[in-house]
Amino acid sequence: MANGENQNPNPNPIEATPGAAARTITLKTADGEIFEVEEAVAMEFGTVKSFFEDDAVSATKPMPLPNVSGSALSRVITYCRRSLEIRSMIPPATSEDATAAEAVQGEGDLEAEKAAKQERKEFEAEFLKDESNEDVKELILAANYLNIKELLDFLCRSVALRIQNKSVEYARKFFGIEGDYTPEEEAQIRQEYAWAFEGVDED
Amino acid sequence: MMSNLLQELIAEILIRLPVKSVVRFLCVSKEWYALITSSYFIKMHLKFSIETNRDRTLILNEEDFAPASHYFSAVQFSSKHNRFGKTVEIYQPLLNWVVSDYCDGLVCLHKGHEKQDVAIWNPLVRKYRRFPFEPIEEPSGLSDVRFSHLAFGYDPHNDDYKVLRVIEFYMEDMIGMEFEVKVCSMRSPTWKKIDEQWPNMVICCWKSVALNGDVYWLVADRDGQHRMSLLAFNLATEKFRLYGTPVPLENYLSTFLDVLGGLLCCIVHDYTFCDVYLMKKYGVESSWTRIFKIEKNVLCRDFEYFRTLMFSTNGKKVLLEEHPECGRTNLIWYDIEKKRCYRVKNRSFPYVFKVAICIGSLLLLDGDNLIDPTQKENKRKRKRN
Repeated sequence: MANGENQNPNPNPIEATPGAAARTITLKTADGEIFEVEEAVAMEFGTVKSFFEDDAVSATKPMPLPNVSGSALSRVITYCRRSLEIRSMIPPATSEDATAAEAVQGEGDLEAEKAAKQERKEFEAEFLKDESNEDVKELILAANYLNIKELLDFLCRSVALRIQNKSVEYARKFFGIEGDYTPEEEAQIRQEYAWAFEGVDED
Repeated sequence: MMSNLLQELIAEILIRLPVKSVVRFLCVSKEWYALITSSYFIKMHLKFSIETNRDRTLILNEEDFAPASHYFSAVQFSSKHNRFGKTVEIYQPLLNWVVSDYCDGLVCLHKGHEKQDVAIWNPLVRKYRRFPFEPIEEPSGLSDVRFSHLAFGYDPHNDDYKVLRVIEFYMEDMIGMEFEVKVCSMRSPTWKKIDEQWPNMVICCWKSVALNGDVYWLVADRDGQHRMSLLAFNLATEKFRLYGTPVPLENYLSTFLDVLGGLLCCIVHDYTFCDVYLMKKYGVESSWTRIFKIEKNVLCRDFEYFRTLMFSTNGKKVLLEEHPECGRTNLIWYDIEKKRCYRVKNRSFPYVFKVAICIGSLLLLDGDNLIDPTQKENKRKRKRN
């Protein structure tokens, strides 16, 4: 996604009048909460983007999001807003060709990229710090429903990191899964792959 | 209960886990077992491993000379820090098997120099599959001497991993030559002769390489010419094709083939230097490009040959497997820009060894266990000389 355009408060050049207020899109969650979101942020949601691309008239009515709760949407909006800000720190590449861009890119651009990367790292670390496993799962479902690739990738990465060194029981609990092996079947797997069970974190 | 949608998300999470974790989670539920062992998931997981350089492990095939034997150890490579861990010795059952080639986390092994005994092994899941023992059929006349060559690669058209065995028979009359070419694969584990005739060319490289569904050898015409060519065999169509070498090469030069950074690599040794070429556009002869030249004195001593294993994480260095005329095998980082060598100092490396490179792969999860899990692991310390 090219995002140099987002430096302009109104990302839709067709409607731009210099200094005009940013358009907002209204979203309504499953639990009836209404959110007014800047268009740039709402367009990060693949679901919203295609909804409005299909039917421009509905821009006046709140778009229903029956699969997303207010708390989840609030977190999602925070993420997308911050993500847009960080992406706008990087000047746009002038062409797709890497070597041409490298030739054009000066010291300042590389510094900006580095700074953006660091900001993203810190922001992402902070974002999920106090989230419970249940909250993270809810966010994943929301990001998936809203079709936000970047957020979904980040969340899946984070969950993978969380469970990587954990036991089978932890994984079951996290995903709310009942183990359905017989004790003999489970014992057989544990024996066959004993090496995979070594060095696992205590529950 | 897991809806199909949720399963898709769980797959997205699981492909981001290293092999050890995924294997452990086979135990979570039958649904997870089915997901993890599905061919679709295994491919996605492998793709992610390759893209992120995850679970990159070097398998060191150690050669001992008295008594003659071969051992295996493994060392992890951290792409994040561009560093090697400590070498870990691998279990005894693979004693005396030797590495032929490797691909997608699988290592092709053979036993005996005639290569009648072949197996495919995934060190990271500790499973293997042994192919049927395939004796060599003598051709109609009597042969004086014969050489066995193995090639191992992935056929994307048939989604299969295949082994090719080529036997060169030098006939008693010292003039004639016969060839036997057979194929065996994971999906079809019986040896079959191929239909095409092997061209009238002699193999003049120690090791074949496989890339993008083709297997390559350096060959030379038998009709008195010493000029070498590149012979490609397509694993799907089972047809041969010839390509030119990067520069005209004579048979007496030491030339090696490798795969580096996903491209075909040709290493040409001359007396005082070594040129390394990459075929930048696959199948396009004119795209051979020299990426660096090493003066022999840069490596500080006489080396017999080296292999190019992989690029460093930032792509600025190349890892070389250096074999001196006598002495220990070395792993060396060659900085292309600075033209300098950095020897990897790791006291746990064996003395003389060959390298196979593995990546996080779940292939062969349905293979045989190397060690019978019902028997207690018997770790005997091997004496090092």
